[in-house]
Amino acid sequence: MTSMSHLFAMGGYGFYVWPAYCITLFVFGINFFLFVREKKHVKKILQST
Amino acid sequence: MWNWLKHHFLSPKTFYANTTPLLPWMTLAFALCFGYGLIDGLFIAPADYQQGDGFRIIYVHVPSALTAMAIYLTMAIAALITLVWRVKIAAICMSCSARIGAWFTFLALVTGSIWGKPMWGTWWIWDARLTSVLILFFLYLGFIALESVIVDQHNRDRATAVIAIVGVINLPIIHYSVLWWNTLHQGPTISQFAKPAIAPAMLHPLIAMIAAFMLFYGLILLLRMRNQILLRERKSQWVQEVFV
Repeated sequence: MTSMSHLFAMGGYGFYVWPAYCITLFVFGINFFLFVREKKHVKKILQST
Repeated sequence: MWNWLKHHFLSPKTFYANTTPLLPWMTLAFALCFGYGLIDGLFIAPADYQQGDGFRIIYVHVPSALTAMAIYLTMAIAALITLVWRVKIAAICMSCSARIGAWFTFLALVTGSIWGKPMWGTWWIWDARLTSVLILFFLYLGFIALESVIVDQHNRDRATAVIAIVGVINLPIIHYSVLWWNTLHQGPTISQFAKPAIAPAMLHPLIAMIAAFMLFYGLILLLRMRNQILLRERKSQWVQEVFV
């Protein structure tokens, strides 16, 4: 338990380090989501032609 | 030679077929690099003697900034090919890269700001490096905005190619800004010619993360380009065959 809280604290910089990594994962996720959405859109257009 | 390359390798149909087997390998390479970089960077690499664990933001900030610049360079090269040789694939590459590049520049700005607060005592300062990266972000947004207002495909490709080529002047300014001007931003961590100013234990996850970010860009670029190829070539016979 102590080691987990130690890990999350990041030597007092946890408030900065974790959000930086979370935003990175968000950007990766949104790029993948935008690709999937575009693929569905393209598929729809191709089906209608 | 060029004509052969253009018609046999850079044609939309061949490009689509050639990139299909690349996708699983790129996904695997990305997963390995990202997994190693994340675990080593967050939990194994030693804390910095000055910045403590706060320095671990380097593993997302530096790769995002480098990728943002690499994407713009790719766009500029694709723009040149579009203008000179009118290769369809290059125009598609340019267009898809802009959307990914804008996100990576946004990420570099946000993670840099988050890192700046505990180290410099401020979220933002109008110094040369930060301002030039913000200009890069606006260049990406300008490119996307211009692309969305021009209806004709041919004119759109040419106009956006000009923007991409003009904007490339910002890349050396970003790179050398920390050397040319007095700035709060630290100097280059990895130089092409000098020994890296970072311990090997900290360098290895950084290299892995840079590779992971570049691979992610390459992967999303190929996936989005394949979408655009299908859309632009939807009336051709081969697209009908692929789709069916």
